[in-house]
Amino acid sequence: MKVEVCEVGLGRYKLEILGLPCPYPTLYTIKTLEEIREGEVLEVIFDNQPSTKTIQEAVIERGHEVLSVERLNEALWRIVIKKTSSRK
Amino acid sequence: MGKYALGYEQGNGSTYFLRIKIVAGILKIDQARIIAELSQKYGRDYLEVTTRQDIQLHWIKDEDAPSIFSKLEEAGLCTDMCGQYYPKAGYGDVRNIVTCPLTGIQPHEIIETSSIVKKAVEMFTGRKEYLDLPRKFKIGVSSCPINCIKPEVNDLALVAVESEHGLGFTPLVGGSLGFPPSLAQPLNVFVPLDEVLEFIRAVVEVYRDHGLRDRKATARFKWLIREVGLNMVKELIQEKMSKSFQYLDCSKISLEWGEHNIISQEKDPRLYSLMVPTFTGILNVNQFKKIIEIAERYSDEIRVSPAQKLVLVHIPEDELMKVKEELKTLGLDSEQPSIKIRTRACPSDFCGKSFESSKKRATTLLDYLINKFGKDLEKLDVSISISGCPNSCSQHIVSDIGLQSTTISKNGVSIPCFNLYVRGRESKISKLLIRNIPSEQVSLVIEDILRKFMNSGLTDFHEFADRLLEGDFIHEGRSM
Repeated sequence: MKVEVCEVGLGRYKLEILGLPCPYPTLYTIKTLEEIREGEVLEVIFDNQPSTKTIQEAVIERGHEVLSVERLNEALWRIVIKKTSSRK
Repeated sequence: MGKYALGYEQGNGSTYFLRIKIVAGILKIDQARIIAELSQKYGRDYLEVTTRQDIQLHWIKDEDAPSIFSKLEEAGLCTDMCGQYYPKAGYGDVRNIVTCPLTGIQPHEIIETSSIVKKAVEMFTGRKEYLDLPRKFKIGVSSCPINCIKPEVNDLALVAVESEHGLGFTPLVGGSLGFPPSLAQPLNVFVPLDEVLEFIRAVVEVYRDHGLRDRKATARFKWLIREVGLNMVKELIQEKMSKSFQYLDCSKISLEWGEHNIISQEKDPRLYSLMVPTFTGILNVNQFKKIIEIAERYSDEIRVSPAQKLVLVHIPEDELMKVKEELKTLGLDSEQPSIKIRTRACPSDFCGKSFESSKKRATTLLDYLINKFGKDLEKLDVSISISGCPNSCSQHIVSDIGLQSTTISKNGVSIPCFNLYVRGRESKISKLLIRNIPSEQVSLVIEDILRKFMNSGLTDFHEFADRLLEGDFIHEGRSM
């Protein structure tokens, strides 16, 4: 199990959530979005398949923008999100 | 983390379910109240009792999970880790350990199992080293003479024995009902009572360390046993424990399966247990709250049975009628044909893997049979289980009559159907009798089968099933 956030560029962060079932990938994504500034970008890497759907739903519901959804390999996904709202 | 999770689902407008483990099937009254509160606040007043002695809620929202998990922690409850959606093998956990719901209070058990189960659950719950098994791992500890938990459906089953070596268990390994179904096989050894926890830990660790992780589809324990053989698995367990087991011939142990009666006399002969006939495990929160009120008049707990039922305990004989009446007013009438009480169904309407609601199908079917057979239905001692897919969550593949939802395509249109299985005498795994029965014909087909059974002069359904299976009944659609 791994949960790790790091800054990967100016205004760009990476959250890795591996081995954690629902709802943790979604909850960690929301929590991390709350901690970064509007306009900044969060890249979420995860291996729990349903989170491809639930993270997007939660993010859109809170007014943020999903920039891309990508399957990196058989068991890994990446969602890139732009924080565009301060709504919790 | 590691003790709580939500399961993902895609049916009935629900995204997440909460599967609360009821450890050893013993639910304390204050815990029950908290579950009722959670159902009311987050789960649309709905509850389900599962075949692994869990209580399941649906329509849970992710943002409510932290509050729900704190409540559960406060109550001393935990959940499955529900890691079935990882595309690869891994992140499997030990699921709720099933045991006889009447352990400790029923007069004929060999060993009281609740303390063993509680300690085993503590051994694995929230422990990082047991949260990345190749897949889920199911354990059953059987101590009642009728093996009500169906031990061999588990990855590891421990059956209580009183042998020449003393009091203890004999283990069976490699059961799993998902395709292809297999029953746990005996290791033919004796595990002394004081070593059983160490033994359970050793088996789980053997699975963790040696289980096949190449493909998810072949990661369950049964596949390791197929790959290396029972003897090797036994050796690995012995190595883990640094000891050799004494031989015990399992063929002399009764592994017959049965189900407890609606009313069972307890160890204290003045007291009785009463099964609450929750049809296919469904309850609404008002029923549940009323059951809690009734239960606490007699005890500080409610038992949860793997037959998707609740059990009220410690009721004095002269109160039984009153309690039965109270349950009847809640729509939980125990004076129903046993075929209805024994019917099980999976929550396929929630999981999204099926084209049919198994629980609704069960209602339609049983209403139809009651209407057609009337009082005659009471003579039938037959179990029916309905699953939405081959994963056999209702255990349809070991039921007397099993139905599994499927579809066929006709002119580009999907038609919901069922495959029908019956269990003969040769094996506890049922065999396919008829495939692709259109859903609307299922009730008629089962009526046919039951009528033929009634007219056969046979009393054992398994013997009758053998006759059905000998005939030319495996074909498309209905033509019996």
